[in-house]
Amino acid sequence: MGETPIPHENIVKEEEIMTGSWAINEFFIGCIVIMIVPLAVYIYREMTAVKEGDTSDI
Amino acid sequence: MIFNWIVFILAAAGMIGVGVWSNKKIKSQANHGGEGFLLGGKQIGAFVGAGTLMATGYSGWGFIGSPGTAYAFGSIEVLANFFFAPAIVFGTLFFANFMRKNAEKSGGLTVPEYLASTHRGTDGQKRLVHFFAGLATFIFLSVYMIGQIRAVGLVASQWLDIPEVYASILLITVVAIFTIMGGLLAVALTDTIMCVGMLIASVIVFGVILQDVSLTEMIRTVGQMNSELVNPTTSAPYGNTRYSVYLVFVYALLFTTTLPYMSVRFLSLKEDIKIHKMALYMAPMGIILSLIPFVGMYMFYKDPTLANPDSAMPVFLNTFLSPALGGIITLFILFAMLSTISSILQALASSLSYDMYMSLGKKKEIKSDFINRLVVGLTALWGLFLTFVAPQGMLNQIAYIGTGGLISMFVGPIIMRTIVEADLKTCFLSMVTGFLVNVVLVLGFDVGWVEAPIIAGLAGSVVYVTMGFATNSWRRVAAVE
Repeated sequence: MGETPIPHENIVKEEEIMTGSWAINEFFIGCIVIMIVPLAVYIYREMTAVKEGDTSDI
Repeated sequence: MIFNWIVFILAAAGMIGVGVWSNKKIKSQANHGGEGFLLGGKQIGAFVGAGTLMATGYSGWGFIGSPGTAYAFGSIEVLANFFFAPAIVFGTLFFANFMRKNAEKSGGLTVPEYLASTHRGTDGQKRLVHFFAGLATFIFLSVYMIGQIRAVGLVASQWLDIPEVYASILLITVVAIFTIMGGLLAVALTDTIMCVGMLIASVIVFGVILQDVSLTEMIRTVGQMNSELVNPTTSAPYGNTRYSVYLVFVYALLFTTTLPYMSVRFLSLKEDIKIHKMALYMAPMGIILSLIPFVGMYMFYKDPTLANPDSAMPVFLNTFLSPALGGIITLFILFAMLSTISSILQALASSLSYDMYMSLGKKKEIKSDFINRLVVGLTALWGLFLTFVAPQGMLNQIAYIGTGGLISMFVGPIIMRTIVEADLKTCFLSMVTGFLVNVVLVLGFDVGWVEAPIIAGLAGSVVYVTMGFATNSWRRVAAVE
């Protein structure tokens, strides 16, 4: 009937994973995002340019 | 000390050399109407564009102030300082082309002129907006420059062992010389050299920390001493809730796209530049420059009893690095400060020599760069004069009104123009609204320096969009008359 309660010690707080600090965790997540977004835009733009025949950068 | 003087003289000679080279470059291209001096002959490519934007955005005082804040408030500063990186990268990636293409279509060598030329209206209205935006830039950036010059004087006086007054005069003279000679091109090139120095400094500093202790061990130990420094429950000093820190990203995004000494770079980029390539250079630069606040946490880990948090970086340099390496890093910190000052000086001088002079004198263009160059020199003297006569107190608050005021004024006409193509009356009213709301929030309601320009910019934007659509018969673009 009732769900088995999760023991308190089994609940992992956000700050306990990765570096142990939520702010530093978000810093590293931000570092990944800031690299991925320009890289994705770069690949997309360059592939579009190749399709359109602009190969000046290759 | 002699070693520091030799390094300084070599660095100063190098920067002045860049000024001389830039002067030849812009003269050889026979640009007229100030484009060569004010916009570097639109010769700024992807790498230099990335370097100048990152060096200017990451103000040099951040190398001292940010570790100090991290010492006092912990990991929240690491995150807050980092937000400038994605803001500058994404602001450039998604906005630079819009502004650059508009400037090419309508004209505009400075941000105030860009505002006047990209909105429709009578010649008188154009001159009013051009003058008003130029005046605001001059006043607000003058105030902002005071703090920057004082910071340079403070660091350089200790480094060269001379009084602060002489240190300020010496360094501002070097900046003025290369800016007078080479204009924005010299500023952008020296910024890029300085940015490389700042990157090297960040890598060395972070490497020294990691040689001593792993990041997780440092965080764990600091957390045991004061858990609030590692897992803060508020965003102090940026706000009262845990999530207030994210407003720093919004602030930095507006800072990148609207402050004249940042966004003028978008107008100076090469016609065939690939912005996405530039953003790809900027991203790792931003990450590396964001490592600096870790010095504050490391100093707390080593010695939690420092009386003055702002001494975290100087104490780190003196204690954990050899005198020669510490001296080189201090030079790079000075570089970071000078890159911001040279950019402000250039924007400040152009607001006076180009924007106000042109709009008052009904001149179409300045035939010679002579006035632009002369005013850079006069503006440097003006900055030094203000630095020594301005009172010490209230400077932070005035500086926040300075940058915050400009951001509040320019958010509507610059960013909201992507939504509606408004006229000059709307542009003017939006600027006045943003300015007044910011002043009332800061002085009347004691709203923080991050929130105030965001709220005031929002107010100016609401006015811009509403009035813009209303005057366009509720269309995005006005019908052709």
